[in-house]
Amino acid sequence: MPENPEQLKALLDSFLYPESAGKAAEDIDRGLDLLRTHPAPAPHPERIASIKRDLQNRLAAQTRSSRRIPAWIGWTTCAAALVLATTLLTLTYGPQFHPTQQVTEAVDPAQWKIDIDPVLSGMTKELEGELETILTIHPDQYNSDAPDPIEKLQQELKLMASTDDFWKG
Amino acid sequence: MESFEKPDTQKLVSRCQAGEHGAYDELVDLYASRCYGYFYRLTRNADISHDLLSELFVKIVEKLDSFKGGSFEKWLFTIAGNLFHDHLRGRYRQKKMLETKARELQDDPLPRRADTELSDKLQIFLSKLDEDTLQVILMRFYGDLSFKELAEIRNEPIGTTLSKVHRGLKKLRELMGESGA
Repeated sequence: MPENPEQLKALLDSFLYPESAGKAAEDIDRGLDLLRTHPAPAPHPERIASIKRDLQNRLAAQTRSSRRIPAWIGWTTCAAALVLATTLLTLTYGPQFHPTQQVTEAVDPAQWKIDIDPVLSGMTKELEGELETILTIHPDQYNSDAPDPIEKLQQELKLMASTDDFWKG
Repeated sequence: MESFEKPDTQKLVSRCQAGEHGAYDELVDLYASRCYGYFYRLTRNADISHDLLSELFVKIVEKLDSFKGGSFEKWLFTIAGNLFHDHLRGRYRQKKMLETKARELQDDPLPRRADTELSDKLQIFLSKLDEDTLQVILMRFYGDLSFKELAEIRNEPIGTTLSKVHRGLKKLRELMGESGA
């Protein structure tokens, strides 16, 4: 809403000296009068009708799309509710998950024994065989009658100490 | 001072916002002439002015929900001003304007049409004002806006707007031989 003449004069007074303000107000008024007395051509009626048609088409399209949106939301909500209900039902009434029970159920202890015992006995036999081989190569290691190496060394030391000519050979 | 009849714009805008399709026709009837005049005086071209007018109303349909009250004219002419700036930037339209002018010069070297821009004395003198001054004067006239509203739209001090309009209109009066001095 433009200022009325008094408001415009007051506004100009705040920027200009009173005499200049009066002249400026007149310039503005008369200048705008020129625009009033020399009106611009009017828009073509056909173009106005075309603008109206275009707007109505756009508004109709907007209405259609705004109607489609609730349907889309409805379908999505239904799908989400179905998934949620299925999940809840599965959790409530479906097979329960107990880790220990599942492990014990999955592996039968008897099965363990059957499977492992032959492996163990095989390995034991293999180890015994290896030990036998070692004993064959070093038979004195497990001969209980053979003198203990430490005892043997001690005896030699005693002999050296008691016999002066031991070192001479 | 007021040059345009002012019905209850606020009610009309509310009806448009409520989705009453017929209200848009009323809005076009109410503002088409003023907005066309604004574009025509700026572009000096009827085709471009019609195109801009059409774009303006499309923008109104798209953006009317964002109008939260206040002066509808200020809102409307802010969009109109932006559209004009976009138009100035648009190479296509510049090209079209040049082509139109070239065709006019070729086909119609003498201004026979009494009501066209070539015989519009005011249009000739308006074109002697700089673009910025012309735009603010036309916004004041066709938008029926206060200097405060103009300054807000242009994001400048009110004194600057006031001075620009005053100098522009004073020059226009002088050019039209109506200075009265």
